[in-house]
Amino acid sequence: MRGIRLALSALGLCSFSALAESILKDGAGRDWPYSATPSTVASSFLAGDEILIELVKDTKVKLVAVSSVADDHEYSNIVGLAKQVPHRIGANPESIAKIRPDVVFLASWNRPELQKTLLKLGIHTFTISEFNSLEDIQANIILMGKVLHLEEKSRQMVTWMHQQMPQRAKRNSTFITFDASGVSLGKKTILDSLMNRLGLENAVTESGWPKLSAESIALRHPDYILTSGETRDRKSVELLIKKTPGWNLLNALKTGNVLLIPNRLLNSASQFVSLAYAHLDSLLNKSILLKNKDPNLKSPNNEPLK
Amino acid sequence: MSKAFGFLIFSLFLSLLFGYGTEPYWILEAVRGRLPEEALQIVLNIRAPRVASVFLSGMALSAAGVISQGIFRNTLASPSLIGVDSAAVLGGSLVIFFLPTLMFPISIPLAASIGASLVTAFVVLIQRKRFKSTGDLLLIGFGLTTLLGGLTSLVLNLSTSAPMKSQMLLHWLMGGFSNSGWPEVFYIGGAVFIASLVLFPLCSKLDALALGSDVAQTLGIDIDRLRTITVLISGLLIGSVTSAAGAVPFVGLVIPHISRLQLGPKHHPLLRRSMIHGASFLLLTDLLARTVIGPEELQVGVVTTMIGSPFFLWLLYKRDKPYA
Repeated sequence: MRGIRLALSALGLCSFSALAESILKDGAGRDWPYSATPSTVASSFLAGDEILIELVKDTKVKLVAVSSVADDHEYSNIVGLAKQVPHRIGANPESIAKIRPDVVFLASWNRPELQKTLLKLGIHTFTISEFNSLEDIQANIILMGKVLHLEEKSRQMVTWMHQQMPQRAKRNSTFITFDASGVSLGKKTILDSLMNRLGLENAVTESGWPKLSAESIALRHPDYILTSGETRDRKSVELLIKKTPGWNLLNALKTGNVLLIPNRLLNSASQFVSLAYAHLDSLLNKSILLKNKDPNLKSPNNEPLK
Repeated sequence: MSKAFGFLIFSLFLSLLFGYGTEPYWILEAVRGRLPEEALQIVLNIRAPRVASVFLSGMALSAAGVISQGIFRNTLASPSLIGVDSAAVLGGSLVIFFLPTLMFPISIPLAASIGASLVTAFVVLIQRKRFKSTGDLLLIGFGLTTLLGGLTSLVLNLSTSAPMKSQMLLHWLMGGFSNSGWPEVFYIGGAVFIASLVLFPLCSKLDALALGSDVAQTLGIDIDRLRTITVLISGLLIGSVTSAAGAVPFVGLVIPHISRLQLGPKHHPLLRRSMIHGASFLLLTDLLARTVIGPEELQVGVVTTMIGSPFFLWLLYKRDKPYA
């Protein structure tokens, strides 16, 4: 009898610990105890929009709202697909309350009051907080898959990303990112992680998005300057860099080693980062992928890479 | 005067000597003719134009402060009171928000200058046609500044969905000389040169105005004309600095106060001393902005406020005679 009791209590402990493991925590540190499968979902940030639009495709979960940035050609990789999503939401809780989705994905930069207000209105929120590396993006996809009970689909997306971004051998070259605002992307950023996978080292060893002094830029000696822009704008971009103190002294500019990548890929924090990888890989290998119509490059949504 | 001038030379020397890109003894190497090419490039192409821009901007902002306080007969007046810098900031903000990055180097200074010129012209016209008193001019300026500030906030608010744009706007609003090159030096230098030619001969008229409008009129001074000229020159000075560096707060308001605490209210010495103090102050604050968290840098507007305000409060506390 005692043995049965022990066995039962052990079973109880096991099931409790299994339950504890199964409870998700969001980026705001809140438990996600809901077990029902959501039928409608919304996102308040672009990376969430891009992940969800692929994640819920051909499933019973309906994406009812995305952020308004999803329609912006400059930043969004899903302009075409977003047209099928009926609503747009912003930081205004009323816009979300009107739609009443089962779950709203928020980003850590959304104001905490928004989450509180939505919870008061009985709308479940899940906050995504990490956007610092390729691994973070993959973890976010898995996390969102768990919330929506679409774990298998999310794993497929992550596997697809892995396949699209093989680790390249070290090239013994460094890069630096140029932006008109004066900030450069440093360590612990998605782009740093992406370029490391392409075999390049960041000349900016500081973390985050530091605003470096012009004199410090001039001393970094990067082999490549990476910046946002379309290929047709190359001359204007180079002129802009040339006019910026510090940057005009870099050899990378003089030798024309300026890598241009569309803004929507440069700042991507979703699975579309794999397109940024392909784009930069092709530039680094001195071949223009799009001109050659490489059959290996496929967008997750089969949207053409502009 | 010699102490202030000596301090300016000292500030100029420090600003040229220190920076992230060279060791402080670079000047000795330069004298011996052994300065590495890289250090030479950094000093000539980055540091020297920046220091020159800062030097001239300090002069411009302080001079604009002195004449604003003179014409408004109010020591709390600052050049920003008629809305010129708010207009320049709005012009630059609109460019950052609406235009592609590629157009920034030309369009930001251009839009800022246009904004500053339009508001200056508007203020001059409206005060000549409709409002005659200095008090009215002050109120017009207040209304314009509030309106333009609100519009800039609107642009900032709308930009939050595009993080890089909002970041650019924030940097623009805080002011900084990180993009200053030789063209900015000539632009601001030209404004300071013209302003100096016009303003110094007007100092005696501003002195008379300080005694009251009636006294000034009795002495044959055309107050309307004086007001128009000072508003135009103030617009030119503030517009040139803001278009090159964004909004640089504090200098135009407080440097004239500090000079007045030392010299009293006479405009000729006050203008001269304020220009020297303004240049020294901005040189030192910019030096801090670009070195204190090196290799990163702070926006100079942050440093001018953080250093200048406590210093000014301390000066007020230490004064031993009533404030003129």
